[in-house]
Amino acid sequence: MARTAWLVLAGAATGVAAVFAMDAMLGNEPPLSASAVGVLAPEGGDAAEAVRPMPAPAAFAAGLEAAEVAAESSDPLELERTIEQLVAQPGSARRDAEIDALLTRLAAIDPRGAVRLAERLELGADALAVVFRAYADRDPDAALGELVDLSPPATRRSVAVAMLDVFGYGLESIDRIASVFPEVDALSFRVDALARLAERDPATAFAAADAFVSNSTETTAQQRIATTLAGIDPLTAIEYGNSISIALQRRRYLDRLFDAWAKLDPNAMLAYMETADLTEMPLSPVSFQALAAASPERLLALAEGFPPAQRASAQQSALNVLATLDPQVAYTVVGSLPPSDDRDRFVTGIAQAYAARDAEGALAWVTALNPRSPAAFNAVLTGIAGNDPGRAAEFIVAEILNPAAANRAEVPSFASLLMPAMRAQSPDVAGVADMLSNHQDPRIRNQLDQLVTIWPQVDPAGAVDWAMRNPGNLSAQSAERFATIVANETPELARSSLALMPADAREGWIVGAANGLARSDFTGTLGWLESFRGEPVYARALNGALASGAASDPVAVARYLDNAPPGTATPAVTGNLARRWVASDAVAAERWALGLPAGAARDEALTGLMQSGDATIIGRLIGEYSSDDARTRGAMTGVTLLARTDAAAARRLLNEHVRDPQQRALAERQIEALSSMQRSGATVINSGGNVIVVAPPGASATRTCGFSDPTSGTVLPC
Amino acid sequence: MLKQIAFFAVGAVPAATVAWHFVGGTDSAADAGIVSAASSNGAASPSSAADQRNATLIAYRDAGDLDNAAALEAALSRALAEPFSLARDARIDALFKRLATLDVHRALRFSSLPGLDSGLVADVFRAWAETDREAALGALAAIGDPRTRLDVAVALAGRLGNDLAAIEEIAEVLPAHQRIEFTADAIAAHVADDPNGALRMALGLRDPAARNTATQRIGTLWTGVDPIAAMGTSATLPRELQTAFRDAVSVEWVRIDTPGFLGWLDTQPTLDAFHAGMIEAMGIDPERLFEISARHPPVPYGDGFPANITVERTAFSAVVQREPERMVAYVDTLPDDARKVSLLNAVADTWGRTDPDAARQWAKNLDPPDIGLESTVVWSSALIDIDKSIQWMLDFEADTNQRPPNVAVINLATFIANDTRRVELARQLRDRPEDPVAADLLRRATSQWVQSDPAGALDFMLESGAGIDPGLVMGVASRLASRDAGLAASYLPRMPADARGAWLEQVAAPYARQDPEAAATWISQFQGEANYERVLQQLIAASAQTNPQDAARMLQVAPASLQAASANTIAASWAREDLAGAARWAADVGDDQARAMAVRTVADLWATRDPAAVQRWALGLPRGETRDIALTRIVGRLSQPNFRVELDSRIMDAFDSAEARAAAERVVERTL
Repeated sequence: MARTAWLVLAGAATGVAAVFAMDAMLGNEPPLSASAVGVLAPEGGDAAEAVRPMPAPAAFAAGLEAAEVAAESSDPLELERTIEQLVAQPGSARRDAEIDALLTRLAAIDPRGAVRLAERLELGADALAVVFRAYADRDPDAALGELVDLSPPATRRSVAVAMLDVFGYGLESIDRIASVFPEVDALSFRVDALARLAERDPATAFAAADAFVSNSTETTAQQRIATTLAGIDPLTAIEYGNSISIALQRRRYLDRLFDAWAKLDPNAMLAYMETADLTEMPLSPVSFQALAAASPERLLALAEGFPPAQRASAQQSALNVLATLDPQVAYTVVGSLPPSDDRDRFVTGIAQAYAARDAEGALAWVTALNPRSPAAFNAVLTGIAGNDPGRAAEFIVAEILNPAAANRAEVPSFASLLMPAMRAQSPDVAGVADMLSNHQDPRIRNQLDQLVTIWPQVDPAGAVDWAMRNPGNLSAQSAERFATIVANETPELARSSLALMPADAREGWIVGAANGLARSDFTGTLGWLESFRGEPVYARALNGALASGAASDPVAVARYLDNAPPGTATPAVTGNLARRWVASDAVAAERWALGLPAGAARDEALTGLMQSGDATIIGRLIGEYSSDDARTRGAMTGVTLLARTDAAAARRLLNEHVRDPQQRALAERQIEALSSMQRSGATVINSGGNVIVVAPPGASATRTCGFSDPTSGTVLPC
Repeated sequence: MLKQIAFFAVGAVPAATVAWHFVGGTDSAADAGIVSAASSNGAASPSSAADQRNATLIAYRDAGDLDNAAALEAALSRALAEPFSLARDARIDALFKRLATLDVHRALRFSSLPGLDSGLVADVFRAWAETDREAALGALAAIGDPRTRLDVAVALAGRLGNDLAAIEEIAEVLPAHQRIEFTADAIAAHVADDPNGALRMALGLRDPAARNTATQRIGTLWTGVDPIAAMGTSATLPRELQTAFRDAVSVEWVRIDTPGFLGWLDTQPTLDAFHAGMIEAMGIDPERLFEISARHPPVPYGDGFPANITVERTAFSAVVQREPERMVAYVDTLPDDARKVSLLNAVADTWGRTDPDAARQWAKNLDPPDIGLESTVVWSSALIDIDKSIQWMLDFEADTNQRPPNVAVINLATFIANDTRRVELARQLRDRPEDPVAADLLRRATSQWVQSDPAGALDFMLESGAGIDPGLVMGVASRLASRDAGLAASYLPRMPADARGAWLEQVAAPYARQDPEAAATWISQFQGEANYERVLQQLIAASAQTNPQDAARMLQVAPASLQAASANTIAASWAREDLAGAARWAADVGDDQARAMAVRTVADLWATRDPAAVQRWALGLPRGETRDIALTRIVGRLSQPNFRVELDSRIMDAFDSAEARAAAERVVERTL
């Protein structure tokens, strides 16, 4: 207590001294130095002019007139009538002043009448606050009694907080007002009132916030106080924030404080940052954006002082603003940063912003850069390709054909540049494909090959539509891909389109079509393939059909293999069939595999069955291999799968069947990694300094959370 | 310390206000005397309508009698120092406006003082704008206090029509960083009369940030008028604005009417969309929130928390914090299922960090004993008393005859690793080498410590002279090097022998990216050490990405095997920007194998980009193996089915080796 009193007195002495010092500085004679007392000279204006006395008499005149009008009347009915007439008039300073004065007057004579009138005329929370202040000044208990019935709740809260003027800014007053509300509303009011109290008495407000039993309430109150103090005394607010012991609360409080301060007075905050230890000053991206909006250069200069993750965020915010103002300047600034992944990211952002604003200007700029910037070049092209794929395509074609540019190996790829357009199923992609297909230069045609390799994966309908109109432009690889898609969707079209294919693409089309057709009709596909028997393509196409059929109809594939010519049931075919089949019918798959003649094909089928990860199946089949090598391969497969669920069984399998030290070491590491997750059951997640450790469901010590250093932006492993 | 500062401020503010009176009052004693008399006349709080009427009028008339700004300032500062009364407020109002009548700038000096309503400044500007719009707008930018400036700007907008043209005109006067806030506030001022119109104005803004801010501000104000209508509007907004708008509405709704919000929330089929409001309500009425969320599908707490940390569980924790015993009794009434287990754990970890001793007593008395809950109390107590928590953990086995569960040790280790006293705590644990729990805690704490403070953790690990945990070397090195590779490199001499190789390996590549020259000098001193070649290879590869010429120089002094392994990386990186330069370098590489690799890489890339130029280059090379390699590659590339280019007629004759020529001819024939 004594220490508190001492501090208050010391503060008082300092306050007095500060005023005298300021007065001495100002000379206490007009004209005053406007900037010295918190008045800024207009930008670019004449400083001398800025401090010349500037009269603004209208408000006083209106107020005096209103006071005279109000003083003339003491009849509530007349006052109400006059107010009602004034409210109907268009807004003006005089009208507003008269309404205020008359309402105050009415509240002094007939407070309840004034409340009813303000509500009936929907004069708003400010007018009601005027009335209630007068009401409470005359009869505090009656005013509080009336307050609780105010509606809507926003108005009630606003008036309740305004009544602190009358009851005084202290905890007792807050309690007195809160006492008229139900418990939950009272708590909510207290939190708001503390924010208002903080304007005048931050220490008491902080102490009261700390005294809330619940951390959640404490945090809410602290955040509201932070918002208030950001506009009044952010330095005191920071001191308080640093004293909050729980990291998560501290972070939330400081986030709110810095966000509010950065939005309200970014220049003051930047000035503070220029002398502060930034490694201990966590700022959110929102704060950086606000600071950057005020002075990107100052923020950029400060960025080096932040820890790495925040540094990048600060730089990014500043560069975003600079790029909006002048992308070329922003690029020059980035060029002064040391090489890093972040720097490339910044360049990309600047170039994309430039391209979005002025595509041709960005193209001209990026091609003139010396030294060249691949990151900027790609970003500009990507940006343009997103809006105008045709323009981007024209540019790339010119770039490929440009003899000077041909000394660079790096060429933008149509496939990646047009990815967004393909994802959006843009018809422009077909236009680009047409343009490429009509070009004779092999370098351009090569780009078409790449495009039609990716396109059907991203936009099958658009790609197939184009391919069916341009079969002559398909290569062997692209034909195979297209045929698979077409056969999946429209089997008949896949079969009939073969006739349209150029010689180079015919084989690919058959293989792809067989693959796609067998997914829905393995037996029918075999029949279609009969027409190609004897051709070199037959074996490839049959293998594709067997692979697809294994997923959709393993029984039919197995039956076919039982009667197929020798050499058809290769290890790849049997392994694939067993792996697919065991998932749907392990018993049938095992019976079939064990029925195969001993040898590589049977061994591979056994390994396929190991993929079940079932310890019983693995244990039963591990002795069935025809060679130790094959058994080792099968055991390694089994070990990896078993380790996920049963580390002990995985180790037994390893110890019994794997001899090679390197393989054993590798498998041991896998078992350890997978089983340690099982053992600890803990996953640690970091969310901006907030660490949560989660145990598996059902464990007794589970789902707990804690807090880490908020400056750490890392995931903490178990 | 903070409280001291705050108390200091409490004293300073009113003292400064009072002191202003004495300072300002010295200017004109006579004027000050007049005001003083008027003040004392009205200082007694008027309790009657007549007093009030007189007080306001007297305040204005007295103020009107003053023509001296200094005297007005003195009177104003006196009034501000008085306790509240309607008469005092009337005097402040009159004196302030009178001062503005003489000089707005001098009036503004008071605008940021606590207790002076910024509405007074707004009144002055609003009235001023009616008579001299230009002057009022011009002076707006001169308001030093940013909050007041914003309030006044919004008031001015109201007086000037508050349409988009007026808003833009005022925004132009404001500093750039306040324009969005102002625009949002000004548009939102329409909410009282026409919320949908306000929304249309906001949605018409071009700048996405202004549009988003204005929409949120409208949501906040609309909530004060009609929260249900505001909430209903969110679905009609563009998708990218919906979440922030809904958040603004729900947060404000909770602020002004928590029961109203929660009552409405309970009628919603799912709660996920109202997450922000629920988090806000957690601080006001967690019990009701707990009841409501228990009746709805679970909502993850969010903010990076895993899905099983729900709003329901967190609200329950908030209630436990207030009334742990009552919540324990409540949980005892629940059926034995997963939810009960979850809530019991919430009791343990919340009570543990609220009242550790009471919580521990509860956990110890559980019947049947629950080792998990007991250990949860132990680790959660670290939030308020980490020394006690560590001691309890170390005594755990003696108390319970069981080793503490891993999860509890991990959690406590997390707190140790992030505690500001972590060095001291880690030393205490290290001083108990025979205690397996202490060793486990220390191992886990250091493994987390290195994530957030690798240099600090490393210093601690090395200070004992025992070296560092080999299992941690990779992680520490990689983390440290990614931030400051030079610093990471400087630790190498202090590394124990068995960790040096791994350290070297992790640091080299980042170092080469950050500072290739320094990295090259640094690596040269480790020639002959284990891993040296692999590290040098990484260094060359990393350097090649940013400066292939530097990488090429490093390659010259590398062992032959390394040259062969790295030559194509350098060639490819160099060729990206300069095929001819890369080709010249490739043909001159000293080591045969490395040269072959580099030439193949360049020839392949160049053939794709400029078939004519690559053929000219190859034909210009001296006859021999290198040229044959280049020619073979070029012929292969230019004869591919999808990339057929007519070969220079001299190509086949340029082969030195008959076998190479025959092979090339076969390639050409195959594609014909």
